[in-house]
Amino acid sequence: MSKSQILISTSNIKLQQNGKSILDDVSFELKKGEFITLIGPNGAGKSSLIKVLLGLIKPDSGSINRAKNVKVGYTPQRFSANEFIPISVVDFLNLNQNINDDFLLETADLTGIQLLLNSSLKDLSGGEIQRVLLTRALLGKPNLLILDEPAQNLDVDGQMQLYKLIQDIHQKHGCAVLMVSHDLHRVMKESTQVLCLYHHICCMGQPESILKDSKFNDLFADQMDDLMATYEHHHNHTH
Amino acid sequence: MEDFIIRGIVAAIGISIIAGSLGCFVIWKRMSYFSESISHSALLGVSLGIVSGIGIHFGLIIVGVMFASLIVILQQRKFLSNDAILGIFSHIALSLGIVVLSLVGDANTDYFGFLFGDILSITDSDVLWVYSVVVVVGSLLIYFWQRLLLLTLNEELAVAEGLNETLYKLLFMLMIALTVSVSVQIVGVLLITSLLIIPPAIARVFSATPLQMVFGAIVVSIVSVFAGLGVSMNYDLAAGPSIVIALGVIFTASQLLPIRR
Repeated sequence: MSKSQILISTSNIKLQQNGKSILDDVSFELKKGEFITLIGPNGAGKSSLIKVLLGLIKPDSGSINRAKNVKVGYTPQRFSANEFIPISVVDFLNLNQNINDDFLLETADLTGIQLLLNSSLKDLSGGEIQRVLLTRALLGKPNLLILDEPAQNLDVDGQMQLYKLIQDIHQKHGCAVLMVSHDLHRVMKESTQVLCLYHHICCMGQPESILKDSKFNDLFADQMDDLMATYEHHHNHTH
Repeated sequence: MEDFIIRGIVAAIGISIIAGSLGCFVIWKRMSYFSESISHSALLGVSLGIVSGIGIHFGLIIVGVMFASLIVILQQRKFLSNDAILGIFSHIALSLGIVVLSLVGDANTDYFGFLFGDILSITDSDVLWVYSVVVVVGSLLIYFWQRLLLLTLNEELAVAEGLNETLYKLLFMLMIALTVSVSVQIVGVLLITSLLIIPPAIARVFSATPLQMVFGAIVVSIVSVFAGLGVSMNYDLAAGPSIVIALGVIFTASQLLPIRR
């Protein structure tokens, strides 16, 4: 890959909070059209890494390089709209960006929020908020979507629909995706790269090779057992 | 009608316009105690303006911005809760203001006027000041409206989308300091916050959009100015408290209505 195709890269990012190492020497790059899934146990620093990438947190050392043409669409892990502001979903989508009405309706149709457009933003459920945030991110015509656990608060059906939608966006629009997830089984099929984080990068690679990585298996031993029990009949793995 | 009454009404309408619109952000950002602390620093601003000879308006703006910056610095050290910091500043500012004013003032210094407002003292140049601030704060609010609203709605998303939160925080503080600086004469340092928060709180009941809330707050504020000044003149009462009581009556009535979502 040529250098011009790298959208965002980090080198040797270190971050400490309250004396604890949150990110330790994290280096990776995200290229045009890639789909990176960021996994790791709770408290592994996944959201912190995302925030460093977005410039929300300054790392103690290391550097972040963004390509000039990178346009990021971001959906945070937790989003609570200020509850005192009376604002509708459609006004929120239009806020601080100039959006053509047709494009807005088209995008709302894609994410399935047409019926929510006139609702008050603070009345939405967690799953609806996620879809509204994804809509807002898409309206900015991004070439990189950064999604921090977008499937949280969704039921199984909702998760499937959302993942399908993200996959479509990735495939049809060639938009690069960096998605934080704790849902191992579902995510790995779609991703071109899986990045496994536990303060440092444990391992990184294509979904199939990660599964075989012993470091990954150590880290997720418990969850893997669960997965295997649940999905035993789907898999062709060896014991 | 007497000239001074007309000047008072004209100045109060100008203040209603900026206090009503800026006040919506004060309510949304839960910064009413912050603006209270800045208002309390106003007395010190008045005194320093007199002593240094730069005039009370500049004194007010400089001291207001200085106090606001100190508060933000202390907040960032994160060892005290916000309300403790604001409580400390609020009372230190008020006490300093009274002591310094008693040192620099003479027997004629009108404490009551500074604390509760003195509409009789408003001159033509004060009216000019008020409207200069209306133009400056109004233009800033209109120009940065979308960005300020996005930051208020969710700071993280706004910063991720490229907005510089520190810049807008400073801008907001400057606008509060400017508004306080022209409101002292009408309602006094102790009551300025009520002009910032009561009109938007009333307007919230009728509003389904942020913009409706801003315009509603301005209208409510202007109505209360006329009602308050009317009562104060007929019964020879202090103007500032009369305006605030008018707001209190409207607020009470508004609570009987269903709240729009």
